[in-house]
Amino acid sequence: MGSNSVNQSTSGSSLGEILEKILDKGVVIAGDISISLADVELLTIKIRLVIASIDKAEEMGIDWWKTDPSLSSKAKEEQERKEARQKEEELQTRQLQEQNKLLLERLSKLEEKS
Amino acid sequence: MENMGILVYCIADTYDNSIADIVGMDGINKLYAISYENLFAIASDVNLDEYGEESMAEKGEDIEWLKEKATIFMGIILKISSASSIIPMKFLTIFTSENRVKDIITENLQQFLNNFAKIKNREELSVKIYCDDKKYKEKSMGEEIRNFEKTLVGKPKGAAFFLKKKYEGELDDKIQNKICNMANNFADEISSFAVEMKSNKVLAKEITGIDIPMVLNCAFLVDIDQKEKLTAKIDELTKEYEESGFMIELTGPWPPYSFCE
Repeated sequence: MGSNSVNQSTSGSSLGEILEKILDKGVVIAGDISISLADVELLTIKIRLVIASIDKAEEMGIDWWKTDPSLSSKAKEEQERKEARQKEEELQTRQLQEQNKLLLERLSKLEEKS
Repeated sequence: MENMGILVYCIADTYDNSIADIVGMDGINKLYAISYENLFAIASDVNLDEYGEESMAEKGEDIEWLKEKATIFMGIILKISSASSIIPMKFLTIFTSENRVKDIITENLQQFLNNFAKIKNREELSVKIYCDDKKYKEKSMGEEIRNFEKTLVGKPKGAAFFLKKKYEGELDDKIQNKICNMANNFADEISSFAVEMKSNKVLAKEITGIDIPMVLNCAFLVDIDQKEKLTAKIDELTKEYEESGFMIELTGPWPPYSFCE
């Protein structure tokens, strides 16, 4: 033990890493005093915000291993939504193109007359 | 008579005299070992007026207190682990008597021994990968985007407009997928030098204080004599990846937080 430190600074920027380890990892042994800062009973709003923002990152799709539709029903839903949006856009495009065509025809008819 | 509790930092498989010089979390009482079954619970006494349930209910609200104490706690853990192999306890694991600590050792003895066998002569290293997708797009998607733009040449304006819109809509997803794949790839390449790899939750910006999103957070359990090869590989890949808009953060060695059951 005690090999060269790669980077163990306990400065502000690695506070997240410290909290992640000491609150969420290590062996699961409950003490006699019921203090579990990640525990629902004792969790206050501020700490909830800290932990909740980890979950938020996952919600935003940064949790990469969950975005494969074959692995996650949420990802599958997202894919279906995307496909539906695409179909709608294609339909709109076709409608616009048809409208365009009709307008051009009318225009050329008008031009012939004059 | 003071109302004291026993805060246990970790279980160690050897006792090193140096721990008696380390001051505990409360800034007052020094560390000591409770020895049982050839294992050592490294602990310090804490005043339950500050560390008891009632007081903690308030302290839990105080995020500055939490930040300060968490940092001190980790500092103590790192000092202990520089002298012995340790199985770390969760933050603020407090017992009411030495006998209770011995009970815990007895109840979890096999599990502790299994963990020590697993972590012997090994260390935990943490790799976090961040990616700025704008930067990735600039540095890695240039050719692909130019190739697409070539396909629009000669097309009527309307069609070109819609095709471009469709492409741009798909581009963001494409970029995310490529970023994910590259991050996975990084982890795969490194894991061939490690005994075990564990994927952890990515941390949000609020908690990292870094402006760009984290896309991968993993821990590697590595044999001490493989460590140089592993870090050399990380250095090699980091150069490549930074050119594509990634940021790689390697920290450690840590006590085996991710590899203790």
